[in-house]
Amino acid sequence: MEEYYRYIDDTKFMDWVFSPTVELDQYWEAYIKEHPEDRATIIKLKVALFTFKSKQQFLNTSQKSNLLDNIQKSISTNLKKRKVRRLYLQTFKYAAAALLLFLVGTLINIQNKKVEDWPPMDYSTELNSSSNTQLILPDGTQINLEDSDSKVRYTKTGSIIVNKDTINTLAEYRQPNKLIQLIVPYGKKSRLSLPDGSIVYLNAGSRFIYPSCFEGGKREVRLLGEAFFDVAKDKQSPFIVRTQRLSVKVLGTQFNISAYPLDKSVETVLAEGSVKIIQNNKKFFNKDIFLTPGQMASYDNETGKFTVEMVDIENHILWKDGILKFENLELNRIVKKLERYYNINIGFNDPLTGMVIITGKLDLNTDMDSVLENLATTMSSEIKKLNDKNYKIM
Amino acid sequence: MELQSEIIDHEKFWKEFTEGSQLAFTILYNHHIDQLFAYGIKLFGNDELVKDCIHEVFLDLHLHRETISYPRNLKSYLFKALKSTIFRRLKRERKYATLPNDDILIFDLEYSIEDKIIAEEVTKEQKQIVETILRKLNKDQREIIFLKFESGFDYDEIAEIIGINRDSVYKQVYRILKKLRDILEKESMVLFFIYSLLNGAKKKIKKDKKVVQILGVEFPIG
Repeated sequence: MEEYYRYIDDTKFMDWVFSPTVELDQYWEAYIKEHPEDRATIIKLKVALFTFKSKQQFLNTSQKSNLLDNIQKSISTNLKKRKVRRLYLQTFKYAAAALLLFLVGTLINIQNKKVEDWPPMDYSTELNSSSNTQLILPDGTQINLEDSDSKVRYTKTGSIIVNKDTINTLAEYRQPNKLIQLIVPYGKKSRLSLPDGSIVYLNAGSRFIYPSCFEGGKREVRLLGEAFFDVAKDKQSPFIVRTQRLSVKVLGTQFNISAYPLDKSVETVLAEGSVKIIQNNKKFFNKDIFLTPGQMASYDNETGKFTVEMVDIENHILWKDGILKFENLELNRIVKKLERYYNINIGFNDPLTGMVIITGKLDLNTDMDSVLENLATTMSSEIKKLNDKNYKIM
Repeated sequence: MELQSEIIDHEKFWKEFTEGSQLAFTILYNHHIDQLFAYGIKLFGNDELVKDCIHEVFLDLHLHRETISYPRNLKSYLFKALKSTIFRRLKRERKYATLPNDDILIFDLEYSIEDKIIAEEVTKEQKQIVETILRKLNKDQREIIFLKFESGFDYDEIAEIIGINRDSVYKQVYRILKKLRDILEKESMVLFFIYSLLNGAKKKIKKDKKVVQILGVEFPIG
């Protein structure tokens, strides 16, 4: 028994079991190699403990902030909250039955077929280098798009027009299985018209992959980052945007997806029409999400849960016109957007400042320094320029 | 481009909190709310009641902030406060409805192992193991499992939250481990199989030989 205790009282071991990270995986794999005599103990214990990882229930973001608001209200009036007698006890007796049903339900849980794989994304090009927006053709040709707000479109004959230059592509590359990649580094954005007439606005720090032409009743593209889509109507062939964890399926509509790999969640905002959101590793009980205009679905990458709420669409799509509008947003989130937009770093003198909630609008078409100054003024603090790339909010 | 995670100075933070900073209060709330709510739901599975009780706990925390030390005891203080608030509330409400007299707090652990074994169909044996383990634990043991294994409390803190002494907690953990070991000895092959499913990518089943390979060791199955 002693050998089990050694690990049970080791927080590094418990963390590995209940909230594993890549580092912990590596640490313990190395540890097992060094202590082969403990291998069986460690594996057995991990399996057994993992069996007891329970299902945890959390409040969603808006429930949390409502509760906090209520608490702060009663603090300010300094009165104990009026105690409302509710019918909790009615629900109590059903709780046990519900738990039973839950257990039965999940035991028959089976996995649906996975979405078929796409060729892996090429991550070789750095997003934060000061390079230009790049268009990579099926034959590997890289075309530099020098403007910070570039435009790519197609002619009826299939030639690509980049800004004002026409690029003639060979007919053999105009095949659905020939993929084109558009890489928009930090500090740039791009507007792309696809061969089907759909328009995609790509935000800073995004990768977008699409086929040279759409065929076979399907229009599939792949996105890493943020984009606003204005999809041309074609009831015969659905338009599917794949991100790392979610896929969004539409027929003809306007919507925004923000799926940056480093963000905590994937956000889909619908402006017009309707969309269907599908988890890539769908389980039997995962329902697809349907949005109506004005709604936003946030998918939490960690918990795998969706929250759907009504939002002000402008807050999420005005970036394509160079305007950043936000409502009750943490300064941290705004700063992150600005960092991507301008390809700079913004630090905080006091980390607490980052948690301040603000509402407002920034016109990013004016020069960067005055945008940052505007933001600092709103915060009634100062922003200090350390060097070309680094700023600090005091 | 990711914001560097900044380390907050605990003492400075606590000072700001005791001086009544709203920002510090918000941070503290955000830091603990998920774990508190998850714990509360396990004590008594009613969202509204748990939310109400959390409300009361934070209000009390604000009112008594000057007498609480930070940071060592804060988390267990909050857990304990939530538990006693829920308990008090239920006791009072019991006057108005029929409830089983003992065990007001049931401590439900909804196990998520079923969710994890989605890669393959759940076999009869695996189902049995989970049920066996569930049956063999009592309410206190379930709570100790949650507090010790999942919430990272030490023996002293658990003793305080549950209201028994440290030695009893230690003995209970010993008993839980013993039960686990018994199951492990008997069913280890099947458990290894579960483990391999949990680890998805590491699993390699050679069809002709029927073995599972885990961390370089092969175990026969079937």
